[in-house]
Amino acid sequence: MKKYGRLLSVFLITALALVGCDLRDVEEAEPDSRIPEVPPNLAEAIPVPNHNPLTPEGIALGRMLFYDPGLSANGQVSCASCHQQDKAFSDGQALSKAGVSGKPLLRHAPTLVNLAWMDGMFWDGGAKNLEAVSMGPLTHADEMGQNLNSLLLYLRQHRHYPAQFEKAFDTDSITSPLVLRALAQFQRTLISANSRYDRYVRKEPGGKLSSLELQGMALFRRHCDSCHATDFFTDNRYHNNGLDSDFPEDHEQLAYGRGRITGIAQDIGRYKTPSLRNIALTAPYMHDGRFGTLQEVLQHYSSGIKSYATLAPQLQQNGSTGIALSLQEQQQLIAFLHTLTDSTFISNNAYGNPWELQ
Amino acid sequence: MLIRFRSAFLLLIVLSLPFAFSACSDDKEKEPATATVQVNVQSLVDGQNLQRDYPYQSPAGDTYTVQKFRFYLSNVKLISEDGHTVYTEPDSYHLITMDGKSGFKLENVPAARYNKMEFAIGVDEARNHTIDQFGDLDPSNDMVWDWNTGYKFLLLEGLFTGDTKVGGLVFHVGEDSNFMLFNMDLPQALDLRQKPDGNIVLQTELSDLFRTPHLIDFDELNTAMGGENARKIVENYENGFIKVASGN
Ligand code: HEC
Ligand code: HEC
Repeated sequence: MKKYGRLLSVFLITALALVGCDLRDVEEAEPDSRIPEVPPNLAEAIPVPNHNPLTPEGIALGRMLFYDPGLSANGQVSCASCHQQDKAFSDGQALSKAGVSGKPLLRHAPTLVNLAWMDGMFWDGGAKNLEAVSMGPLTHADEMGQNLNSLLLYLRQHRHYPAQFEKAFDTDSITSPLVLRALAQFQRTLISANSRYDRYVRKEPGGKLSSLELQGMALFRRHCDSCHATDFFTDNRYHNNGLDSDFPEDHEQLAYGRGRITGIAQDIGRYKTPSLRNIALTAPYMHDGRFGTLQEVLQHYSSGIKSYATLAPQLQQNGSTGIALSLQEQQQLIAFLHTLTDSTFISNNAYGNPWELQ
Repeated sequence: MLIRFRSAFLLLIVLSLPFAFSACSDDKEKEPATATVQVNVQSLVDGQNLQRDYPYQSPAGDTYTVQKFRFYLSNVKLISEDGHTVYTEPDSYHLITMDGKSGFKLENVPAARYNKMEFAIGVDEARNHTIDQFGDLDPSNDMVWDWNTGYKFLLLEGLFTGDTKVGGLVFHVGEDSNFMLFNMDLPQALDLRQKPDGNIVLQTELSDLFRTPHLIDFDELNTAMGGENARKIVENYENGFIKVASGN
């Protein structure tokens, strides 16, 4: 008798499982517009960690969080205060004062682009993945200055968030790891590879480069793409590109760059190679925003390189430092760099402020 | 597609039915006996319970108080006398804090006679490079580093009055290289073959964090955020800072 009871329950469970299969099939059949396509010259697919798969609901929630100043201690600072879409998610400032304390930050806010393929974030790669990176700005006293427990209180009492977390993560308990995951999901979708340069390499309509730009591209491939490599325009590694010859210890050795993270002398003065995508939109430049224009950047590479034990070998050849570039060559390079501007990236509604659209 | 999926599923069910039956008939046989072991951690200073804001004397002769003391006790294992039975606690991460969690239960421990315990202070590499985790590893527990992804393995904050200086004590120990495993004999074997419950008491002795081989003088060393200073603290772990006080 007992045995038959078991058997019956096996059948019941099976029947339920089959119903479950039906539902899932229907959902999967629906085309999804919000998980973006990856342009073929960039990569095949978006790399995603197993524990945080991309879902339309997760991306939508991450986008709400990204644009919500309610996440900050004073209710006035959101991620978008320092990462603005029209500037390819940079902020136009050398050192931002937009944080809750109004004090200038010690580093420049970089563009947020193609982050899904980055294995270290921040200028020194200290944040090891996208699920970890937001912890910095959320809690830093000069950025959003928030205590995670107050943040959770805010989210749990909010008009919209409980339902959104339920949709995205299938749970009614809002916790910090889920906040980090949603923010990561949205940021993983920030993909830019639709500039004129991209259309040129993909041989698409509108993909024309002028002879000036093509000369610039040739120079770029000769002098720059050992570090600003591939169509990501970064090798995701750390180099000293000759900005300084002195690295003070103050602010917990912040100036050491990568050396502060690894604790080894060979890494002092090394910083992560930034992507050059949308570079014409993301001035000022370098980890402290010291150069206001691309002209200044090229003057630096040409004649401003400073020596230090860790200076990259590419920038010290035949006994002299720097990459000798005539003014004309500098103009050609700058013309090429302008072809990396992706106007669809800065106008894409899927990346815009969802609170304004409501 | 859907049809095929469904029939494959049915086939699977039909094939698995005999197993379902055999599982049922096995039912009567005795399940392997298991026990529960309560592990408690006592935080001591010079043998007395650690108290917040109480003035203590450090081995180097400085006065200090403690405001926060917490650490990760992880990767707990029990090893039987013959070495055949090893109990490994699943998802074994415990944030022990001076005014919060001070113990935990090991569940489903196979009945055997155990005489060794293994555990770690810190979070192993596999779990230390990501912070979107739940439970004791939840980043809201104030134990993650935001500038260099990873956990603080041990955190001690307080105030000190040294010979020449007065100020804050901030010891944050983390980084993969400071993850430390301990393998200790239980003072007496824990025999779970006859009884369903056991107890283990661990003790930490704060003074021993500052004694050997590195005598920590707070005038000179009062802050550690990883790096060399944190390493000194870790090297001191092995000289009495943590021990198994009793097991029965
Ligand atoms: C007050 C300004 C400010 C705010 C607000 C801010 N950031 Fe940033 N962000 C920065 C600065 C400055 C850096 C560079 C920090 C460094 O490298 O040390 C940065 C770096 C980053 C990076 C690393 C990018 C890379 O290529 O390495 C990511 C990702 C990021 N921020 C995401 C966010 C998110 C998500 C939020 C909101 C939770 C946010 N930021 C809020 C200023 C800000
Ligand atoms: C040895 C590797 C290397 C080479 C070669 C190199 N760069 Fe860079 N580049 C870097 C690094 C690293 C940084 C960031 C440095 C920092 O901020 O400390 C950078 C920064 C930049 C920036 C500023 C980006 C921003 O978002 O702030 C521009 C523009 C740039 N490089 C252009 C070039 C050009 C053009 C060339 C060739 C003439 C070139 N680089 C060659 C490594 C390199």
